[in-house]
Amino acid sequence: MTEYWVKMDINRQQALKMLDELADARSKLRKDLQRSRRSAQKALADRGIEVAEASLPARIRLPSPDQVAAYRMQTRAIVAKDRKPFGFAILVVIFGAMPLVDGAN
Amino acid sequence: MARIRRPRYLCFFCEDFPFLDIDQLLRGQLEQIAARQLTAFSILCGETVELSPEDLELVLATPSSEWVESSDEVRARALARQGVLLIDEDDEELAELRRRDERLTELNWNLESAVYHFVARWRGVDLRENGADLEPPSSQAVRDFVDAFGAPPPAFYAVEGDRVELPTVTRDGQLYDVLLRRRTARSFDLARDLPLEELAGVLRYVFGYHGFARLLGEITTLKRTSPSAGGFHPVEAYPLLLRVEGVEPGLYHYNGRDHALERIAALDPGDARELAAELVCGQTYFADAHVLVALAARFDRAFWKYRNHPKALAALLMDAAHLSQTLYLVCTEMELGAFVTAAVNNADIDERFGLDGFQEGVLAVCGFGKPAAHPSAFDPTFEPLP
Repeated sequence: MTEYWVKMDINRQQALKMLDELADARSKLRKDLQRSRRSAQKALADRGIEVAEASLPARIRLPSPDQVAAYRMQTRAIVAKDRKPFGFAILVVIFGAMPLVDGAN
Repeated sequence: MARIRRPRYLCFFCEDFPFLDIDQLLRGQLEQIAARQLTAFSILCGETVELSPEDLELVLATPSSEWVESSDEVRARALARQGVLLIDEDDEELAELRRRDERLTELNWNLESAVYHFVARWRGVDLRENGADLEPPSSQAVRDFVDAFGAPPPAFYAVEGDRVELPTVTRDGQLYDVLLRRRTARSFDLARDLPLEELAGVLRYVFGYHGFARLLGEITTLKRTSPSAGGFHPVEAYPLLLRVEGVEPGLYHYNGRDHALERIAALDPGDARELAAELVCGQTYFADAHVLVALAARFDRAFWKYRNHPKALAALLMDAAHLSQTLYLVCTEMELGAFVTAAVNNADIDERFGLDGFQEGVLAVCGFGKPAAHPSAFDPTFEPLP
């Protein structure tokens, strides 16, 4: 039986780095993904993503770097959220009482 | 081989964050999926730590009740430095983390309360930009905030149903006059020092003890001018004196039984204001007060009675809140300005006053002093209700 699966073990920093690489037209990741199925599998595995052979398309196509860059802009703030409890984006406005905090941890 | 144990004070979270559907990515499509990030909050370090599945497996396979030999020393040591595991090695930092886990257990800290308290225990937070004094927000900044998060829920609130109109009651007397004049002060007179008598008056009537009772000859409960859970009064006052006649600027403890200040550290007058600003997260209008008072909970005393109790921390926070309201009332009666703030760098204050944060730690900071002639630009102008 053919198995189709993708397994990911990727943290926020690695996810951001990968988005950066995909948004760069000359990145090694983009080249490796598009060179061959084998090199694509290895490049993803190096980044904590395992893909079953059967899940890889016959010909790998990627979204354009500009498309990825736009997606990265849109999601960066959420992906990059600082996990330190004291490090959240602080305090946008002080209205006279306690500062208003966007501490969406 | 190193021996390891799981800390008793540890909790795990799993959060989603947006990532790409890899299957679709390889077909030229951008589709968002939720990736999962597992984290642990280490109460021992006060930090959130990202965990890999292998990290989690090791932590979950390690008991908290006994020391066991580690099969993966490198990983165990890395996790131990982050407070996610304990390791039985001589290293000073690792020994300190073991000590903290033991102290939390000995002190009867409730796990969920400890998570909340130590997540909210700030260090090094500063609202100022480039060290400049805070300015009120521009109308554009307020608009941006409302645009981002929507308008706040309405200030006045009513529920549907039959109404009972109540008679208008007007009471006269000093208490009611003080209650109606009570408000937060954000501007203080920098040209005048606070007379020692006024400092002493505020401390005595807010933080001083005015009686005690022995229960069964074993337990002492205390009376202040504010209520306290179980009559235990486990919240201590630690004044930071900036400008008080005849008393050196510095960090003190107020002894509420003997009505005396116990000096912990002297401060250079030039440094005291900046230290005060740092402790209240850069709220410089509060750092201009003549006196700041850190309200520190004696967790050991509170949790001796409310052992591992999920309500115990709430009771402590209420104790601190009662004291701050009493401070407002006493200061209003004495024509002094007062404030209280929870936006404080608890961990930094603890260190300055020599508190370990586990047995005793700061909950909030209040302060008072001679008010300035003019209000602060931060002060709202209240209109009477129609």
